[in-house]
Amino acid sequence: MKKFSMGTFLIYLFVTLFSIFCFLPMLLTLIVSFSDEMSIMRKGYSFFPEKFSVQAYRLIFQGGSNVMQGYAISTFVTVVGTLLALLITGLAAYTLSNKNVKYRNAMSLYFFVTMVFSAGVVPWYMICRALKLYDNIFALIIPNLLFNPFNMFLIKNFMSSLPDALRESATIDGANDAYIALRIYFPLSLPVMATVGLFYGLAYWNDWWNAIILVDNRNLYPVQFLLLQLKSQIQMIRDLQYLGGITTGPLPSESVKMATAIITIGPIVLLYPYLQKYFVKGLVVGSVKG
Amino acid sequence: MRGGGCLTMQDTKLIRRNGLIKDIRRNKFSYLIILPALIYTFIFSYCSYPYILIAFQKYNYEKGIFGSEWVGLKNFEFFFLSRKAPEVTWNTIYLNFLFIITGTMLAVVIAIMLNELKCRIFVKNTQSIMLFPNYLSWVVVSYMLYSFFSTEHGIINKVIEAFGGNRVNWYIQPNVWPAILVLMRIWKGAGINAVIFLAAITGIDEFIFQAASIDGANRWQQIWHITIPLIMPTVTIMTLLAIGKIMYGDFGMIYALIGDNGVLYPTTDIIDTYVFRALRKIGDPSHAMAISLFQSAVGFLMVYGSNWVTRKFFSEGALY
Amino acid sequence: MKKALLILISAMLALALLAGCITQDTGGQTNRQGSGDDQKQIITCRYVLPGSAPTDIDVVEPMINEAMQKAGVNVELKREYIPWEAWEQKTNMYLSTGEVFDLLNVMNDIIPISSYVSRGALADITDIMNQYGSNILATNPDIMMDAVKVNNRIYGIPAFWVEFSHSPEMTIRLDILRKYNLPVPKNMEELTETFEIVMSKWEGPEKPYIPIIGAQTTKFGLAQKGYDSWPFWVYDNFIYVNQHGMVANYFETEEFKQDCKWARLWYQKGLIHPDVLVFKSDQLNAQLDSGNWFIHAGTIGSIDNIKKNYPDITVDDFAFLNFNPEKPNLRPYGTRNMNAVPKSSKNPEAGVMFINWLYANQENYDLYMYGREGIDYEKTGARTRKVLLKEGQSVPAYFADDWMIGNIKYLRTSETTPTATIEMLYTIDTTAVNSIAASFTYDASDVMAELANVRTEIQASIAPIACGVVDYETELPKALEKLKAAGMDKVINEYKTQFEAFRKK
Repeated sequence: MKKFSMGTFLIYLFVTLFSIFCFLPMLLTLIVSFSDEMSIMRKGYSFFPEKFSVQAYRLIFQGGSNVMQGYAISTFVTVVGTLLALLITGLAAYTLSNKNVKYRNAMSLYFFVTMVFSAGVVPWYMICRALKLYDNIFALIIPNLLFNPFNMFLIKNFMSSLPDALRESATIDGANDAYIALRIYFPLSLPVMATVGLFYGLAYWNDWWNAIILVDNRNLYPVQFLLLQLKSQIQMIRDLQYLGGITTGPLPSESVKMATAIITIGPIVLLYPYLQKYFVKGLVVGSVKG
Repeated sequence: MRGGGCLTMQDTKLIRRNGLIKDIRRNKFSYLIILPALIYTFIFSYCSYPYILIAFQKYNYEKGIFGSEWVGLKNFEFFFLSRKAPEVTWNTIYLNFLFIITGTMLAVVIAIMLNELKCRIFVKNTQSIMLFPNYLSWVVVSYMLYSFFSTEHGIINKVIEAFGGNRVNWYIQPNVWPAILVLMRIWKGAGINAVIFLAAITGIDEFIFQAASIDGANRWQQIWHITIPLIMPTVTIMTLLAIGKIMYGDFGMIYALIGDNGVLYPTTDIIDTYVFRALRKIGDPSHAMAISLFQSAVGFLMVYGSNWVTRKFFSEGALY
Repeated sequence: MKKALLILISAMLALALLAGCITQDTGGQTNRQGSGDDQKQIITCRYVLPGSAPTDIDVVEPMINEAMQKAGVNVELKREYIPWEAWEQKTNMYLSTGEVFDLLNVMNDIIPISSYVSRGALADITDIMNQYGSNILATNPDIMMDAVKVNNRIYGIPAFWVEFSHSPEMTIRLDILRKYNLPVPKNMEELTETFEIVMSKWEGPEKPYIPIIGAQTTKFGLAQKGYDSWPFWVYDNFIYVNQHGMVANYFETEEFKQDCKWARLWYQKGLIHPDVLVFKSDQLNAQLDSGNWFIHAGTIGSIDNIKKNYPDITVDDFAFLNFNPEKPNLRPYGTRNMNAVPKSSKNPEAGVMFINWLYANQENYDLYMYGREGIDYEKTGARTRKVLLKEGQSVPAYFADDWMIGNIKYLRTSETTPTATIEMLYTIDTTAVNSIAASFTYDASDVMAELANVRTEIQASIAPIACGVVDYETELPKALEKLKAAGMDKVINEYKTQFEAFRKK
């Protein structure tokens, strides 16, 4: 065991300080979401509100079943989407990292072009309509999110960095391409797969755009879209109040903003620790080789 | 021996002469598994590209893309003839350049630091916490930022006053904003980007470290001579991918943090916000497409160039 | 490699074409479903509007349709709400892909109706309006109908929900005047003094700065009505037009100098927030709701929110300051809100028939706008209402927006609306004069680059002068120079030319 050196101490200090800077805003968000709207109005955002209130959460969950159903849709879409996306992306990345494939650079370029050029939402919408990706659960999973070249390049890069000797010795042992991919490369790439899985998961979980453009059926709305609608509705009520309509008192618009942030990130924050185990140090390449 | 095996120079040349069909036959499995991605990209991206042509049209809803009048480069004029074009283009590139450099450096540093620490619980928790800012939207961040920088109740001005200084009206000081934007951006992105490098470090064969350790290398030397060189390919690829988007500013961020505050435009107005404002009351898809085409083309050329250089000098870091 | 590229491109084009064909097919299907095989020949009116649908829309919409059909209007209304976040993108998408719908909400101050028309998006409904729109024509004066005309043809149905002749406007809090024992100010000098006293005596951490969004401010026009040259109007925030037909760069005028003088004075006296340039609309709303204000350059819709901090406030505690009652108000334009019929509509008359039914009588209007009496609202007078809420809900189960499609003749205000607001907004001002440019629309397509630059430059260098953050005398020459370089003169001259041609007609 090594001694606790000055360097280690500085690292602990820096990491701790940076974490505090990252933690405080989130804590503030949480507190504001539980603050009474009037005290937000009077004092602004505060770590020590005059009065706590669950009004924002009550407002969000008063639709009850709606939000829960939204959660179910979002969860389903995220799980299925992420798994499918990981599969497609990982397989493609393997090919691009396979130095025996002569056209891998041409294909990389083919993918890269789509990261830079975009023709906007109109033709995309036409394509989705043509493929019947409209008003069904597939519309939330397939368009836009199923494959992201950025993630593919991450995996490809990781796989390329694995020693060439792996492939060579396996080939000499008589292993075919499929064996090398599934038994050697993918198990060794777990850390980057976990990273990319996290990115895909976040993208699916946070997506409301597909729902806005491609889904009319209210039973298919993911939770992000429902919360967006709620905020939109609060805005509408403001307009109504301008006309002198509603007699409900102040709508908890500030605390709702924060509560929606908390509600949507909750599951992700809880999920991340499970992914972390794939970043455990000490994956020894040699151990898989045998 | 279907999978190919180790190739000599002669083999490579042989394959090159035989072309695509032969290569597919040699690597059936590899080509098969990349097919879904190829098709997906073709359908959802390449099939939509003909629509980019509206950048050269006076697009008319009724006549559509085949009937609209062709106007050449007229849709580009509103931007390129404008006096602001050089300024906003410069701001976009300059800010993105700063974001790429600082963001990557901090993420690498954090990843290496976390990797050095032995206390698992501490690492796990801090790493999770560092992802928090990424989950907050820029709009929420903008409110928090205001509570820092507001002239009357801002925490920063309170500190300045406590030390006997005078209040500063931060929101009319264009020169400090690039720094603030950089800070906010790295604060928000460092945690999630560190995950990428952490994964890259995890992928390094533990055996190399053990060998170095036996040879008497200390931790610092190991970082400098093993970790950093081995994650360099990841760093360059991330950078290359970011360069492709260098003409695309972070609209969500700038719009939320700066908004309509024209005083700060000289240093913070980017192509995206400028074009958004210019077209807001016109609502014409052709003009928007023209600018997006320009941004993409420049980004593509820059990546093409830098990838060429990278391939020359550091082939592991090249994109293709 | 080249061959592969060629194959790729041709395949791409083929597929894109295919995609286009298929989409058109689906469009056709939608329409067939829409028309239906019903024997009564009921036509569908698919109405696309921004926002999100009220929860009970599925209950109230059939009631509306039933009422409509009972009145002999064979239209089936079907509303489609599009969230604000996607409004511009999705409407553009619908118009680009030829999606079949029958009525589109148009907000002239976001994208003007002329812009839609020049891109071939909207149907000319002049003849339909004459055939089916008798109630629409009866409830909208000429100036409103002019607002929906392009090249003298009707392209929209105006929503005349508010009287626009109320500027320059200022609401003052009478309860605060009473609290500090101050008289109602009679001119700008008195107002400034009064405001200073209120500011100095104010209790609590949030000072009652005048609520304005600095970055969007180019005219601090509270005193404008007192100028000798009144009435005049500043269009698009920088084009000055007076009733003699003079067109000018507003920032070069004497009126702007006067406005800036007041703004600077107020800023220096601490009546304008030091961070006024960063203020966003929701911060402004929050300030108005909190009641931490004394005067407001606008109107107040409801006293509900203020009541939380000021429990004793009543609807009569607000007054509209008018320092020059002898001068008429100016009506700068007809209306900014309207609904239009897209060219893709198979039943272009459906929208007109529906809105014509809506404006037929109070009963129809109440049903569409406020929902079910006794469930969603309660009548509290001939022109007032009270919103009813279901147990535990803070959002009414059904409501529609007056500002999108309403009419001032039928609109109901609530008992929490200040009387000053009702007088100002929801009562037709008979003495007001119409601006000579009220029905003129400016086609800026030839000066787009300049206009974009001018707008940016205004936000960057004029806004700080206009809200008094920096000094007029020292900063204006620099700002004017920048505006000139940005192409201000070209924009103004283009406006002048078009406007003169318009007046000759």
